[in-house]
Amino acid sequence: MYFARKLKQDFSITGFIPAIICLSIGALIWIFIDHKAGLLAVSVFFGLYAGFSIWIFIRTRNISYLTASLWQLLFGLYLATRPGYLLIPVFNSKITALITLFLLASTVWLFFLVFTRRAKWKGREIFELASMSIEPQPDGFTERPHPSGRSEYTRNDLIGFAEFLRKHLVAMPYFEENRVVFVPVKMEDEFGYLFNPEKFRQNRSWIAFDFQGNVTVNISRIDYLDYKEELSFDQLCDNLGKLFIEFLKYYRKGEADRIVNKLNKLGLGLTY
Amino acid sequence: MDFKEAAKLGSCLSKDYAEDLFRLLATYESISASEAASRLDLHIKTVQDFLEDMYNLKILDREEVYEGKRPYFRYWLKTNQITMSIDLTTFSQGEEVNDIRLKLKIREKRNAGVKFTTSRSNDYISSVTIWMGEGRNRTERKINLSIPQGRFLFHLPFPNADYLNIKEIMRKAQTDSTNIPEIIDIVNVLTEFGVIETT
Repeated sequence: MYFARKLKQDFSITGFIPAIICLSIGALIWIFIDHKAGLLAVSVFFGLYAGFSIWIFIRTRNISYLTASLWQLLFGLYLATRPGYLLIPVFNSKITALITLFLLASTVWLFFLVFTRRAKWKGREIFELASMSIEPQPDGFTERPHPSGRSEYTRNDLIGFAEFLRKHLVAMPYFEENRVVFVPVKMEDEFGYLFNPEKFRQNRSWIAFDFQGNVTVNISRIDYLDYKEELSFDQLCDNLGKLFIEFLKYYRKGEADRIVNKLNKLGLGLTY
Repeated sequence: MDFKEAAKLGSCLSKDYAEDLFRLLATYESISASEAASRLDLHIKTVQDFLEDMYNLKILDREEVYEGKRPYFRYWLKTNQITMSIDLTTFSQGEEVNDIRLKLKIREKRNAGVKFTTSRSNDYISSVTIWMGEGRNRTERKINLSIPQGRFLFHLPFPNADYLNIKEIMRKAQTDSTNIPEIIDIVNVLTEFGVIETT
């Protein structure tokens, strides 16, 4: 789908940082100690990386992190047990073959999830979609929340919707006493959210659905400045609210997959 | 009694020495400032000011006397009771509110440089912080809002949005017509501070 992108380009590699650190440390150990120690270090780091991915999976329930965790674990085991570089004694050589097979299978599965954008934090898609029909208009920014109207839903609808958005990395929900607040997380921001969600939300945009049906939107300065031009701020808030109201309607009608399809149809990059 | 007189009376009555002075005034047929000051061990100027204030408020009466020296005043009680009555309804701006005021179209002013703080429940604005002046003279003014005012401002159109009249914003905010005076008041204040603009 072609459309004029309103957000600034981002080439952040935040998501690859843990892997780059793992491999860099392994390479240094390889150079300064020996290759076996290097491989063992990478193997151990990938084991820890797998634990980190499991933690993200628990936080988000996104299947791609479970797959990534499995792949990282298998890759660590593969390095530690591959023929000729046996670091851990394996009594049955069939186990090594089995690990290799599982590693290949999980690689295919992981690539599938990455290329079908299931592993993508979709904050950028949200902001692109909200700004699609908006014209530039300067000096409109204000830090006030914007009442975006009302919608009909039950508390259970909202909680189910929140779980769906979290699982598909569309927006991270914060459950409060009288409402649920959704914070879209962009690809380069995921660690900020994961490590300190409360601090993260303080200066980010949010969409809140209270249990009386009121929808409120707040676009933060950080997210507004991420647009190439100063867009009409009230329309942007309005559109963002309407977008989430529409998403909730899809969810209530049992057509939640349309939410993900709509976001994926924008065709933004897989890693930003 | 108008508010200024009442404020002056209240201020005088709140003095530490007011009761002692009234005791003297009630006891003596008439008394001079110097006599009262020496009797209560106060500065003559303090007593003189108090007695003059009471005279201006028509609680005391006075007479200028000459006893071979400079003329001075002797004071005595003109009344045996003090009643303070203030009509608070005169402070209401209700009479100023009419259809024209409610039809006033407003919105937030561009680059107003203010901070709106939302309530914990996030459905109304709890305060507006305005920065005034430049450099070292920059001062901060924080206005805490009543809930109806906060709800009203929560629905105030954004700087780029179309203007809306006060009545329409009140309808959106679901504020009661009994809150009109306080809403008009905050609109006036924020217009004065350059936070709200009108058509």
